[in-house]
Amino acid sequence: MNMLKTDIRILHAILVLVILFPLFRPMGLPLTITKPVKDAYDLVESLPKGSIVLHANDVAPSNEAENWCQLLAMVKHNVAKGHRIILVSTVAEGPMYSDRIRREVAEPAGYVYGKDIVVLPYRAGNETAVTALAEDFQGSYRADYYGTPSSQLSLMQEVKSMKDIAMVGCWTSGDLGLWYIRQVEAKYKTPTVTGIVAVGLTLYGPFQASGQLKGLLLGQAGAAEYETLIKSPGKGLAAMDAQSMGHLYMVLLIVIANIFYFQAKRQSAAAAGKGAR
Amino acid sequence: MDLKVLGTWVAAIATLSVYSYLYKENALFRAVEYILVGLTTAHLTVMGYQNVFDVAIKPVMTGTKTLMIVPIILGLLLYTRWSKQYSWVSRIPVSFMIAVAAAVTITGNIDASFMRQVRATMVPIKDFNTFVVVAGTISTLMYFFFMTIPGGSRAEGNKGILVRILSGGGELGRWVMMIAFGATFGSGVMSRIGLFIGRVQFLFGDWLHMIK
Repeated sequence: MNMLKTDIRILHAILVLVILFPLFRPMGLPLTITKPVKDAYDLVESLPKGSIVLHANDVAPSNEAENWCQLLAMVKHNVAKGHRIILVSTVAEGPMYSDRIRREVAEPAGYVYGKDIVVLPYRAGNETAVTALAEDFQGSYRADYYGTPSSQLSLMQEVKSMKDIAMVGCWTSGDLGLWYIRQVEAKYKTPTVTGIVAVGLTLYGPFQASGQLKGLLLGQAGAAEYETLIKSPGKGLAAMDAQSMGHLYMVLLIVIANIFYFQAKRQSAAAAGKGAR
Repeated sequence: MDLKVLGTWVAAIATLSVYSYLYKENALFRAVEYILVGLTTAHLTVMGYQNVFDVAIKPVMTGTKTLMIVPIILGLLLYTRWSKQYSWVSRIPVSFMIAVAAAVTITGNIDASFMRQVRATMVPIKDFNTFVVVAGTISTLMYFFFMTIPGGSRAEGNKGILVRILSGGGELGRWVMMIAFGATFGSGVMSRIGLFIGRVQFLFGDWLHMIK
């Protein structure tokens, strides 16, 4: 019964140790590639060289741990396949991460800014902003994130509407993917994949099951699976042993707590029975 | 000191300050919390201003889109909420925003979130997964629509065949939802552990260089 009264700080400390151990000593626990991730990979593989890919990058510090490694993995794949990339954001912090994509992934691979990759600024308006972007892409962005007029960016001149985009990737902890499903996939049939934080499974799962999403990356596990497929280990894969151990710890806590809960319940029932006699 | 190194140290100290809450609520945690709120507000203000300037003010000033004056005026009218006498005026831009947002989203919603989702459940039962989809959808609907019908499952003594089927289906629906809630909780745990691992990777990787 005392187990149920354990100081929560002790449980926190054990969780820290359980997560730290595999980060220092990777255990190589098995990782299964799930179908939604393989579908996303296959979609990128199927796009011809030079295709224009739009990444709706709503990565922010709050979801960086899960969405950033997903976006990085897919952009690396796009770059390896020679796809051209446009990055847009509906969160204020998004363009900072888009700028990192340009500096850390695209340009080291020989991408020329304006021709092969464009970083566009934050746009307020949520779903209405996505609708405006889908209908009049150039009208929605008169200049890029750095203030260069869109007329001077050759890649921007090729995109009139969503019909000119070969694939959309949404990286979010919220409803961004739903906005693109409703305003882009439904209206223009542009293949759409989404990378979400793990808690979004039940929100996006039905859209993946119905085929409205052509692929789905779920949390760090989704990123790790994608990194495995493109043979480029990153932070997602590095986190997987710690994820597995953390889950094992949670499962153990749930089982132990239930055992003690039912034991305590039985003891109190027995005590009540004795009292009645 | 290199600005990147300085940024890493600030982020590391802020991270540790936030996690100090797990031990006990303290002044350091509160200070970092207030700094975060202030920084976020400042950043959003600058980005919001830049957004309004680029999309609306600049086109009006350069004469490329003079009609943008309409949303600018509507936007300014929102601030009449601060006046007791004229606060009713702010209802005009609010109703305009609601109407536009509803009109824009409903068109996509009907097809994407309703029709195609309904269609996705009308599938031939060819394997266990499709059986789960069909049975889960029907039983969950039964839970919401038939569990409380007059003389239904919650009415004692009514054991008609139709009532038994409906109440049994509703009971199955309740289990289906419980499993879905369990999946949501499980993915929630995964998400939170993921966030923590991200911070640990930052602290021991980017800051202390103890892990790759």
